[in-house]
Amino acid sequence: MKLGEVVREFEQPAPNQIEIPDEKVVPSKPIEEPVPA
Amino acid sequence: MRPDLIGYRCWYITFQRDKRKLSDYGQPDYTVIPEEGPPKLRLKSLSSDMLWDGPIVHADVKPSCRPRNSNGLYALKTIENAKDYDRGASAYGEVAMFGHIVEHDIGWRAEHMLVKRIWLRPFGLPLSYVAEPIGFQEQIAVVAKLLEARYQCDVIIDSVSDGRTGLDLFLMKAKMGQITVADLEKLLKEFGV
Repeated sequence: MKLGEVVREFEQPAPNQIEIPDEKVVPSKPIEEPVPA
Repeated sequence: MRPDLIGYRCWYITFQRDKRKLSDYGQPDYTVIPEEGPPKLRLKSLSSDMLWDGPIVHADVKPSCRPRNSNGLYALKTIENAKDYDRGASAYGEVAMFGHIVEHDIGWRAEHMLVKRIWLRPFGLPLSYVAEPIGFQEQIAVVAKLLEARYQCDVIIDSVSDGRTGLDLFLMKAKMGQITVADLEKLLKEFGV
């Protein structure tokens, strides 16, 4: 594919809908519910 | 917040198994072999064997795109250019680019892409043109649903592009190596043979 002359290069952040979950708030295993007595 | 960088491109749609690279793309001994397992319906780049497994893809050649190389995932700046780039491509669509980007006059090369929207051209799809047991329109709907699930985006049928004759459809399938006996029989019927 021919795109023509180079204009510039830059860094573009990931789109807004791509979000990596924050490990600090996502538990690594399910939180166990207390069993009622 | 910086707005998404949106570009447009086109693809073939293939129904094939995974392939495993035995050497890197661009190397003299570049080879791919089919893997075991079921075939999958996927977008495929026009100018390479690259299959798009999901909504986010990464350029498979290192180093990443730079002004002095030709690496990266390509996109055009207008949807009109993407539609016209290859009128035989079975799909065109909208992508968001991110990572390292090289901007050109009429497009970009990007390190990563997110598929945002796909338009299908029914004439180029890997379908059976036999009416039974599943009709043509139903097959298109199934393809659209499968692509929606894989790429997690809207898939739109571009029915305007579907003004082709039986011969056009046959030639398209021949180009993609997908001719079946049923296709030959259908074409012969159209010509009254």
